[in-house]
Amino acid sequence: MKGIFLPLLAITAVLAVTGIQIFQVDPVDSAGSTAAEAIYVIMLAVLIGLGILLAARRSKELKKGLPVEDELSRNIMHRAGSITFFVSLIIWLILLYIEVHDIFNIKTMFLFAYGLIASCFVFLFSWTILNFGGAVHEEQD
Amino acid sequence: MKNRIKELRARFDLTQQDLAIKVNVRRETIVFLEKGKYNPSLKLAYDIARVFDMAIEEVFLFEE
Repeated sequence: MKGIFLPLLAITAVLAVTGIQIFQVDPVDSAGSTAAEAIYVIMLAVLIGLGILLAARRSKELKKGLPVEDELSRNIMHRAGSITFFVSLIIWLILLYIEVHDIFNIKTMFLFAYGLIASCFVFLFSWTILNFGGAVHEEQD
Repeated sequence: MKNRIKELRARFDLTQQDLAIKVNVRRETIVFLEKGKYNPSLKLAYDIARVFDMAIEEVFLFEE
């Protein structure tokens, strides 16, 4: 499995597992909770749909003799991973502060889940921006 | 760094996909290169120059 597919699979798995944990551990029957659950499921479905679309496109390109990944796609992946690492450090620091000072009175398990979800979305967001917006031009010194 | 890929591609009657297949990269990479949004590795620059039977510095224009 090459290119974006392995990270996409890992992200979908992490989001699915954390989502199940969040909605199973603290089931609230309020309308807000149901809406949040529905939005989460829709986001997961969109992610899976995106994966299928990408796979279909890549398989079509493979038939034409084009590679699935190359130096630019690896460059984008590395940069997205690097951005995610540093942004995640800040996110985890904020979550640690919230936990230590008991600011929002959130269970530790939820803070872990929110941290994981945030890291996944930071990766997806940075990968999308880099992939479609460019931002891969290295300035000459 | 500017390049003449688009101009040379037209002269050699190659589509972005044709060039991508010849140098074994995705078509998106050729698009990014033509837009000047990506600086290729030395190997890719060499491969592209070889497709047009030119020297690297004739395809990629380095600026001070």
